[in-house]
Amino acid sequence: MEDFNINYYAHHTRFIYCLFQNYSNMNNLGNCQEAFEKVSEESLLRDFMSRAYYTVFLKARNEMFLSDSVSHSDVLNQLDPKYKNMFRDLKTFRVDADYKTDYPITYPLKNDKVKGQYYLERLISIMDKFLSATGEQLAYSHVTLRENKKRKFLIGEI
Amino acid sequence: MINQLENMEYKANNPLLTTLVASFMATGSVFAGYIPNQSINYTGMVHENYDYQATKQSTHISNIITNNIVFDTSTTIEKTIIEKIDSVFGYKVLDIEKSSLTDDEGTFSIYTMLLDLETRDYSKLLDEEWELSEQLGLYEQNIILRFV
Repeated sequence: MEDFNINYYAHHTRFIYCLFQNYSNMNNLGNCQEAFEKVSEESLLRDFMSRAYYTVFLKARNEMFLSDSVSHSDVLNQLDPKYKNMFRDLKTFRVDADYKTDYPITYPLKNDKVKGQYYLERLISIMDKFLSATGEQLAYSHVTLRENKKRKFLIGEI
Repeated sequence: MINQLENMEYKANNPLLTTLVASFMATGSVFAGYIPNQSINYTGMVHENYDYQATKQSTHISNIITNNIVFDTSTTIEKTIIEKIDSVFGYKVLDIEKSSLTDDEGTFSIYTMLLDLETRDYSKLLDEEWELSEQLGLYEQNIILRFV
């Protein structure tokens, strides 16, 4: 079930990303369609940012043998600093995407749409790095990783 | 109008009218030739718009440099980071934005940098970002780099 969740989120996020790119590439549209495109672009981007974060959260949680009820902070605390930075990156964008309604998130850096596109590519790349990483790569402490695995084994979750 | 003249010529079968129709048709074809020219002009306008956007973007970049938004940050961490990015990886920084983030581990300064690259391999850039962080000990100083 956990693997299904990760795969579901990964595919869902990729799907949203592809939709966003397709919408962005459509330039010769009428006014109504343009308006529709702008709204869709915004909501698709927000959806993409939010799902990208949950995808890596689930992946990190499962690879590090943490329980389902673990908090997001616990996952962050056990990550290697390199992945921690990327995790923080996605988390910031997730919070912006879900809660910041005072400006369009399609233009995250000084209202420049080009840079917004760079952000998207960066986020999908971070997601790829997380999805291809093993527990040993993601975890800061291998001792803690082994303890987590042992605990999960003892309670019969693995 | 040309169709009407052709009909008239057909009906009247008059040599003078035929000459007149021929000259009108020749003029008409010249006139008709203007229509594709107009579309060429229109295409030209589109090209002008693209040029305008490119100019606008490069102006924006030159403003960053001439107004010293990036480079007048002497003795600050921004300058060190910008110089290191150039010397280690050979990338120029076009724009820089500082923001902050607070979580369980403290408050972090995030430096988001727009790099002067035609194509971006983010997998490589993310590794380079971390490499530089380690080199400069930025993580210990609660500084996070973002290359975009």
